[in-house]
Amino acid sequence: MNTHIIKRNHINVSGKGTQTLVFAHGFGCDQLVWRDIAPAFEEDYQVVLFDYVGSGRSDKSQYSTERYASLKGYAQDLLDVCDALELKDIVLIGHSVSSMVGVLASIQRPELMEKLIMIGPSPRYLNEPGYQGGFEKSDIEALLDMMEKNYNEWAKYLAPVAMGTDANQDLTEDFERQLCSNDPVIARQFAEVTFTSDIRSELTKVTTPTLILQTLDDAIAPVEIGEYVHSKIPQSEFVLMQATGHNPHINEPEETISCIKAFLAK
Amino acid sequence: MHKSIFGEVDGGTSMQEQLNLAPFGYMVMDKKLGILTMNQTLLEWFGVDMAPAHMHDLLTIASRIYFQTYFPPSIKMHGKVNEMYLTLKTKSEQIPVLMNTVERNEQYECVFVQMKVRDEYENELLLAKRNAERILRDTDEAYIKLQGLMKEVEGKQQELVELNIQLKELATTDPLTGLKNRRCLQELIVENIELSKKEHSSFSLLLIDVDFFKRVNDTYGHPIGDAVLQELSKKLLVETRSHDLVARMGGEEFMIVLPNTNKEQAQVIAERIRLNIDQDSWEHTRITVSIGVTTYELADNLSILFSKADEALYRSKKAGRNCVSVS
Repeated sequence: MNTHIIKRNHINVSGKGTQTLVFAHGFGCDQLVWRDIAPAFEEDYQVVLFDYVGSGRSDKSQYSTERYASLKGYAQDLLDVCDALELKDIVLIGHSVSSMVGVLASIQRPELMEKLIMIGPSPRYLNEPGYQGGFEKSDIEALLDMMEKNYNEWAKYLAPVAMGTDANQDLTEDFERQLCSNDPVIARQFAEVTFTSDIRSELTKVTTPTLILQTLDDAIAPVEIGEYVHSKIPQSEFVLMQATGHNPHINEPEETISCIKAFLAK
Repeated sequence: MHKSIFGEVDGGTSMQEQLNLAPFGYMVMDKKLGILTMNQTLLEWFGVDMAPAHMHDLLTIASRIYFQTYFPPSIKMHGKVNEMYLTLKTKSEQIPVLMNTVERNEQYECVFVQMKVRDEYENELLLAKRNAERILRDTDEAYIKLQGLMKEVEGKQQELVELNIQLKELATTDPLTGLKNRRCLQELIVENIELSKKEHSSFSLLLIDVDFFKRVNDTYGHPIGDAVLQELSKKLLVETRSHDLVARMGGEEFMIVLPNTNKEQAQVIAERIRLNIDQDSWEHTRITVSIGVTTYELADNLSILFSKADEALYRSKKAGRNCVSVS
């Protein structure tokens, strides 16, 4: 066990079972987003949660603008986490951009991943002739501005939860300060990397059986994009959920859990 | 009393109506972000009679991404969202707003407050910050470049210093023998004159000429002649002290500067050199030298010294060569 990586990526292991589910969070959040999902699997699986370097409670001193200048850096984080725990035959559940991180990791190490479950995937957010990713470059720039203006506000929502609901006020404020002082540059680069990446040409190389969980009214990854991903990954299954929006694992955890369980049972 | 606050206000206007026209947008949506109702003010901002169906319909694309990324986790964890900065997109314009949302009765109640002026102000701040960051970056780059240039200049300077040393060496050295040349010799004699004046000391010169050198050249050829001059130069260096200077005047004529040396001492040295050269073994052909000795005296200058030395050498030649004369 590599304690450096365990600390770096703030890895949390729980549950009892021989197979391992690894949950990978998306852009703008951290492993806390899985708190209504992960416990449902602890009875039958080993559950691994982690934060990408730069997110959540990872060791932000390990962040480097070179390494995380593309999704490859994030895929390496995922592989590092798996190797640190000596995992094999994992099921990866990736939200949003982590779906594509999972694609890169599965191509690099097909034997590591038994199944890949994507929530709200998009291989390319920018519009191009013949491809409607949904966004223009100017939209992404506006988003980056918006993040900057909102920064101090959104940093707060994580704080009390991260510290536990009973945490005393001082600790929470400390944590907010820490977030505020460390994150804006990293969050901005993560957003840039996420929204300018292009993983389309990689999709056909995926040999891992894949589940695509798609919702309606997802402003970030619309249905057409989910269908596109489904059409490119050979062994993929497409499920249109009842849930709406980009965060079914937050809004409709029960439906999300049953979709994942159904796929695991196959 | 309670009723008067929440029911009727000032002569019959209901709170419902007050809320409808209040100077902020008010909206209720379900948990799937479908819009249930909005007040008149908000409808007017959008220039519509009926509320759009979905929260997304109100937002610019960037705001939609932002909203979808940060609103759901936040409302889920805290049951409220405070001061989220968003941009509403109406038919005619984009309106920057701050949104507060609270979850109540399984619904989300939202209030929007316009912040156009403040937004412009913030945009300018953002722009100024970006510019400052860019300038800082440019400054850093320029500094690194400058450091590179300075290193380069330092390197070139070092090269120049070395070249200068080489040049000076070349300018003061006789290429055939490696001894100092006449130019260097003259400078050194002038220095010695100044020093002697100041310190009331003296120095001497030995003017040395190879006897019958023309015969050497004629008999063995110029290359051997040159080799003989080189061999002689080495012997002269061996004969002298470290602070003496041996120079080649030109042709087969050499001069030795003996600092802090009076006439008698100089004569002894000259005689020793003459004898050693006479009795030494030679690689190509044996030679002898004639020597003229002169010593600095007050009021002497360079040309007086040279002519005194010349005169002494002339007397040695006259006396049959291979001897020393003192002026």
